[in-house]
Amino acid sequence: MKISFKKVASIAVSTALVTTGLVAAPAIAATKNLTVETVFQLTSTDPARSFEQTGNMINRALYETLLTYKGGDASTQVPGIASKWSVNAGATQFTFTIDSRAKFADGTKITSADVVFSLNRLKNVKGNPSSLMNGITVSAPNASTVVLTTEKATPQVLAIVTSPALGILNSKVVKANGGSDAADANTADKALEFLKTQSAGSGPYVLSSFNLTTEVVLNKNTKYWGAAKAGYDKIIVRNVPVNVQRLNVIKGSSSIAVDLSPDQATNLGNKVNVVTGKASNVFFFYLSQNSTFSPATKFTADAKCIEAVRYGINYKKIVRYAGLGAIQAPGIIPSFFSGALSQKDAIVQDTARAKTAFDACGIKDTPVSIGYWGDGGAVNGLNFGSLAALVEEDLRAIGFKPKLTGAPIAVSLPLYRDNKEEMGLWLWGPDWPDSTNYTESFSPGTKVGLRMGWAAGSDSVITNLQTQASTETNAKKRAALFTEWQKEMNKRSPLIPLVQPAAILVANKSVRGVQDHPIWKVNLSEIK
Amino acid sequence: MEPVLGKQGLKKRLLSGTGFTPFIVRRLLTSILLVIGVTFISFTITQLVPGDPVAANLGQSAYSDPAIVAAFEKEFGLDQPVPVQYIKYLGNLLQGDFGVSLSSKRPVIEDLREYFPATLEIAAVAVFLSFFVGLFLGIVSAITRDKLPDQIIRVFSLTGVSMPAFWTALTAFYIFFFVLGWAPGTGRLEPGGEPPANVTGLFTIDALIAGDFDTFKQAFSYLLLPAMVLAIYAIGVLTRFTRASILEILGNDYVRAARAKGLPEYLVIRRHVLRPALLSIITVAGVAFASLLAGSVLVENVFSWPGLGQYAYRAAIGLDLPGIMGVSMVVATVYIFMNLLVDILYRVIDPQMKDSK
Repeated sequence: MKISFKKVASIAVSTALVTTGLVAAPAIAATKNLTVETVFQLTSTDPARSFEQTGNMINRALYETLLTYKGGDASTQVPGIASKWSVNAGATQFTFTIDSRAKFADGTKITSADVVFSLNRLKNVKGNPSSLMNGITVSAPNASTVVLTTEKATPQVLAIVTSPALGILNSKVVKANGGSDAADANTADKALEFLKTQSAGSGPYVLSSFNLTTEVVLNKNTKYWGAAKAGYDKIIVRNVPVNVQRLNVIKGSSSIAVDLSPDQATNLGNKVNVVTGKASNVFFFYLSQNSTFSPATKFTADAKCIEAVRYGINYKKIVRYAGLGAIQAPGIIPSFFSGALSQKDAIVQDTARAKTAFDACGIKDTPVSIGYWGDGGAVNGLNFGSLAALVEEDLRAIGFKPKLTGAPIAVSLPLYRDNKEEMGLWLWGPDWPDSTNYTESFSPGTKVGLRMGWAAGSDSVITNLQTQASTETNAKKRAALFTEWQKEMNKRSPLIPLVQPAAILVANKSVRGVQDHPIWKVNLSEIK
Repeated sequence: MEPVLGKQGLKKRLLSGTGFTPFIVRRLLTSILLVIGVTFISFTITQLVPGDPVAANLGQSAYSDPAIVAAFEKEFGLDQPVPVQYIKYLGNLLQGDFGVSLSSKRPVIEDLREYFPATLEIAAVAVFLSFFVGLFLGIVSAITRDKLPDQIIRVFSLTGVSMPAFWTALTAFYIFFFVLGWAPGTGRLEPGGEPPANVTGLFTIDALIAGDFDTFKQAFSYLLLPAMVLAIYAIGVLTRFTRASILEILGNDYVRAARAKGLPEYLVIRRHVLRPALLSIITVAGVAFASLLAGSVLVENVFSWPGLGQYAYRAAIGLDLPGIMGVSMVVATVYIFMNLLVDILYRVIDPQMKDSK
């Protein structure tokens, strides 16, 4: 039989038109499914190896921790798997009692052996979040008690145990699928692939499917033991570009858009709510100056040069650029945490003072390079390149000769971390929700401190305040120490806090319980 | 009686003969050398980038922990000197081992098996669309030279080759999904949709094999818009090239003679114009189709299409050397295969080429 070209063409065109015409955007209202869209920051759903935002969001729903937080709060721990806990006077021993009702999704009762296995595995696989367990030893005096011990006072342990990386796994199931918590677990543990196909936790959801580039699907844990049952039969977390997230949430094809910028979160129509949580102030952008980078001029180590930069910046202009919900970062510890400075403590631009300091610092026409994430990198809609341009403009106005040297993240981040940037424009988000995360990262001799060439012993006042704050167990005294530490930092540290951008979630009006959280962004378990 | 060839004779005939089989053998051997060359160039370029895969893949705290950094370097062989890393890579490659991806933490070959079929699926539809639409528009444009249809087609084809793929993709998505509601959205299936049992990795084909027509229809509807967007550039190129080739041939005496003896216009075009024009059109088509893979990076990102383009982007951002190498090998192989196919088609279309090496 001979088929003419005309016939073939007409059949093909008709098929295409009929198919596209018939299939409209999938409706979400009829089923009890929740679709959450975000740009994936995800490597796996293995708690011991996942430390990215999307991984934390998903693992928070799959795995429970000893303690946790409710809603958008990250200051008061509430029971998780542990129903009771206590801390010794020196903040070196933390005792947790496992809830007798706690059980995994397969119905197995959770014991202290599971906790010891999970935390030791985290420590020994030497993955991205393993450093959370640095200095912490875990033991189990009996089947329902777990003790975490530290060599020095570490009150932040209570905050650290809330991290989804410290999620508790069913040790028997994981061991049966190649898991290991031994000292050589970095090579002996083979459970990663298994944990990407199914979960082994006790959270209100279980893993249904995992795809690193498209979507992760969670199903309701029908045997969940806790009071807060899953609100949906299925949650689909999808990897979608930001501009498409906006269209989808407006159209109703998705329930929550995670990554919209303040500008994108306007004119969204009447079907959605814009949620700007307390946690919006958990990240902060800063300008760092590296005193070891240019030994010839050492301008960044010069107190007058640092003063010139600190008072030369137009913070109000930067806050205006950052848009809805953004505030000036008055200190290093964001307003969300204990001991944060208030807006009245924030540095105010003083151009005359900056110019006088610039003249005194003697740098004159020597160019100053500023590194940053330059390939369109943005967090909460705040673009590093645009921010760097604002800083450049201000520095130029007081006499500096700044040169922007932004580069793709794979290039610029190693330069910054390896102490090879003269000045850097970067961002910090907390590894654990406590002010100690900041004092122990930015003081002299700590990781960011060293990136600025700020060696241990460079400033004994700041180091003493850091040490006191890290060992103080009284909440009020701790807060006062954090405040004092920041005020001293603001006087002479080579780090200048700039802005805390808003974190915005956009959710369909039919969805309840959406709150922004500094560690897991959205608590999927609480959404109804 | 044919003389009996010894092993040496057979080898000589396969490598230097003028027939079709020696031609294929020679081209395949050259292709292997080309692939090895690609591995060397990709490896060298990746090493020249002033980045650090450890810093790109570890978090702030982990990067400050020497034990974690050492474990990471050891796990991925980054503690070895660069020449040793390359030699080991080649050695493993000969055994079919593409290494382990730094970002997905699983064998690259498994990643490629998962992501390549997704790209192949939209690329195949895009090739089909661009070849037939490009050829058709090129012919119409040529035979209606300087008239309204020609002007419209020229504007369309110029737009196709000029518009950046990401812009076309965003605009198409906005119009056909958001405004008109004709397209179903992003991804390969609806959110949480169950893929068909994996046979080929092409959802449409696998759904047909499983006899699941609902999934076939859904998968086809999801792939149509990204495939059309991907095809736009190739359609533009083919339309313009087909038009130029046909116009050149239409001016020949033998075409005028064919018309003068009263042959209908469609027969003139089919017998005397299209056939000679096809050789050069196929050359351009080969390159245009292979370039679809490059375009897929941006189109896949907009449509959240889990293909090789997204994988390549992720590997590049994370300085995932084994991932980058794996993608380079696949893309190089596709280019080499397309060139081989073009050369074979030359011989089929123009038998006079049979005796040349």
